[in-house]
Order: sequence, then structure tokens, then C-alpha cells
Amino acid sequence: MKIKKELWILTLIGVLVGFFIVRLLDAQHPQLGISSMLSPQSLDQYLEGRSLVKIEQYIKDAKILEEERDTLLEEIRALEEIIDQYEKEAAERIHRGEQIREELQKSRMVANMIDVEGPGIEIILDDRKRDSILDSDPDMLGYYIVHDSDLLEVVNELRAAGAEAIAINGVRIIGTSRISCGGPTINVGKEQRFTPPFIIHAVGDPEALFSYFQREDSIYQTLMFWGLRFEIKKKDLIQIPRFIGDVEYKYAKPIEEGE
Amino acid sequence: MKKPSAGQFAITLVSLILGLMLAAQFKNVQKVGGNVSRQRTQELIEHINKLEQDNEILKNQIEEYEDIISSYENASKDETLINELIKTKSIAGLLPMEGPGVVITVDNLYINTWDGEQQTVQNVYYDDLLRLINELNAAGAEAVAINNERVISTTEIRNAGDYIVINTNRHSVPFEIKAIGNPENLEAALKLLGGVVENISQILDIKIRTESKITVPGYEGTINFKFAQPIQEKKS
Repeated sequence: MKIKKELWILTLIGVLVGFFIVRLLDAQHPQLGISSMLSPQSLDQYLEGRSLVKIEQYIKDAKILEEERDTLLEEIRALEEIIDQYEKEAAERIHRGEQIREELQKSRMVANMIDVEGPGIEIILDDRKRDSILDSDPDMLGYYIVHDSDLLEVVNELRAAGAEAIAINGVRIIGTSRISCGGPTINVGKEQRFTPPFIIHAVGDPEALFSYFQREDSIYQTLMFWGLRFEIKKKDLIQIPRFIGDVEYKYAKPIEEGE
Repeated sequence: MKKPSAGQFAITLVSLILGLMLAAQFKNVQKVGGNVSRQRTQELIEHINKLEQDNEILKNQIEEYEDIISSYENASKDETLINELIKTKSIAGLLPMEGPGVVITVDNLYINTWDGEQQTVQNVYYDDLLRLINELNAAGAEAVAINNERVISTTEIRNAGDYIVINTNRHSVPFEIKAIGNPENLEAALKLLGGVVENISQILDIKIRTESKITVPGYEGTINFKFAQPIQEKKS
């Protein structure tokens, strides 16, 4: 009886130790994929396990980069405050200095260099959901998906409706933004590639923005006809980040007026 | 004989439970793996690339700000402020710019009917101009104007009756698009086989020429922000 009891404890410890060894190895060396390697399954599934491990690594990398971006943004805000202070000082000394400072602030708004907020709309644009109609005629597939030209039309209509700031999936749209096709992805801005759904934010008069898409010649009517997802929601508060990108003038030089 | 059989029993049990655990764990792996993981991996890679780019740009921005600050500290405060204004205004598209680039003219295409009269094939539609501008932007244009309307972030191009409205002003044919940038790149992008110009030239009269010096005017309209406000940072 005594021996049996000891064996029970031993068994329990054995199980726990075994379990923890696997967990520990897995946590410390995820690239080895110990847990999936130990299983008696096929090589195929082992590789699937590996890709999951890869995803975990990517998520970690992304998190580190996001943290880095946040610190950089904080640093930028701190520097902007210092610059703001200097601008105030300079403005006090110059003739019409306060006017110059105001003009500078407004130019920054126009130049998309400032995070803005205000009322507006949110649009969600997505391919048609798989259904019997979509499956019945593969040749028509092109009509059921979001194209770069559709996004371009939506942005153009938002501008016509008086939008003051626009972003697609968080990327601020400026005058020289391009929207082009990259195969299954759509390129917005210089190098940013997105897959549907597209979330478009615009700050402006929510009523005016909303009703522009009710016009008969709106891209909204066309895309709804083909059964794409095109949701428009009026919002009291939309936040749109500043444009993050190089605005470099290699060829264009400003002509200064009235020397 | 009793002792070893108890030990064997225990070991059997250990391996059994271990096996079960591994199987359970593997089931989790299987659920998330496969096709979904490939798409997810792709998305994550795109996300990481974007973040890396953003951070690079933000670092440049910080350097630029540090330059401005040192200029305020060491050089003339007044001059620094004026320089900042000029730079910001040119990014905003409020200043006229000059440089090399391309000039595109878009007009109606006329054909002679059998009784000798001229007829247009098709009117210029806002879409044609929109696509041309987008193509120029993709090819790295730095400043663009249509009929001297500077294209900025709020510029719309829409049909209104017989006119095309740009920056809330009405325009009609012929249209002249001026774009400053690398002339060869801009021209090549436009003339791409199967590209925008090839499509449009079937129905419209379109001409492209490169120039070593063109002038693009600044945005002339008034801009009032009625709805968009700068986000105020919470001071803690």
C-alpha cells in the first residue's frame, strides 16, 4: 500500500515535469516548434505549427515597432511644443508677427501636417459576400470586387462634398496621393498596400457628405447595384491623423512672390 | 513480482496523460493553422513594412525639427519663422512652383461626317482627368495643376452639366495639365502600353510634351476649416 502511494506521487510529478518541459521549451524557443514536433502527426501539420509560431513572432515584431512609433510621436510632440514656443517669441518681435504665425498654423492644416478631429462620416467598403450569384458566373467577378478606381471615385466625391480631411485605413490623403492597383491589394500613398475592407474617414458636414452619395451619378449607386458592401455612417467625432510621409521637392522650387 | 507491475502501471499512466496533453495542444495548433495563417502572415508582413517606413519617416521628421530648433537658438529667429512659413506653404500647395515636367493637353477629338461636318467623338469626362492626375501622382509628380487650378488635398474634379468643376470653378475644353517632376518618369508612366493615355486617346485628342521649365500656380481659393479642428493634446 505504501509503495503504491509513492508511485502515485511519482506519476503526478512525472506528468507535471513532462508538461512543463514542453511548455518551457516552447516558450523559450518558439522557433523550434517543440510541441508540434513531439506530436505523432504528419510533417505537413508540423509545418503548419511552424507557421503559427512565425505569426507569433510577427505579432511580437509589430508590437515592438508600434511601441517605437509611439515613442517617436511623443518625441515629435515635445519638439513641436518647443518650436511653438520659439514661434511665439519670434512673432512678438516681428512686424505683423502674430499674423505670420496664424498663417503658418493655417498652412499646416492645409498641408495635412496636423492631426485633426471633427464631425464627419465613416465609410466601409468591401467586396460582395460570396453567394450563389457571385459563384454562378466567374467571368463577372471583376464587377463584385473593390477596385482602385472605386476608391479614387469615393475620395473625389468626398472632396466635392466638402470634406476637409480624408483618410483611407488611417492613411491621410493629400493632393499628391496616388491610389493604384497592386494585384489583390490596393496601394494608397507611396508604399502602403491594403486589402479590403477599406475604412474611409472624412471630416466635414456629415449631412452634406452623406447626401452626396445619394445622387444618381454617385459611385455609391453603381457599387450597390453590384451588391458590394458600402456602408455610410454619420459620426459626431472622427479623428484623422496627420500625413506621415516624405514631402520632398527634388524638381519643384517655390517661386517667392513680391520680394 | 508485485513491485515492477505497479511501476509499469505508473509509467503507462504517465505516458498516456502526456500523450493526451500533446494531442490536446496540437488540436489548438491545427485550428488556427492552414489557409488563414497564410493570409494573416501576409497582412502582418505588410503591417510591419508600413511601420518600419513610418518610423523611418518620423525619425527624419525629428531631425528636421531639431534643425529648426537649433536655427531658432543660433540663427535669426525672424528668418527661421519666415523660412518655416515658406516651406509649409509650399507643402500645402499655396505657393507657385517651377521646375521641369510635362504638359498634357486634352481636347475633344473631331471626326468628319459624310456631309463634311465636324463631330466630337466624346466629351471630356471628369474621370479622364482624375485618372491622368492619379497616374501623374503615382509617377512622383511634385506639383500639378489643371487649367491653372492647383491640385491640393481638397481638389475635386466633377462634371456639372457641360462643365467640369475643379476647385469649385467651372472649366471646359481644352484642358491643360501641368506637372512638375522627373520629365522622363512622368512621360513614361503616361505612355505605358495599355495605360491611361492609350485608353483615353481612342476617344480624345491628347498630347504630351516634356519641358525643362514650367510654372504651376499656387492654390488661389480660400480655405476655411469649419469642421476640422487640430487635436489638442491633453496636457498631463
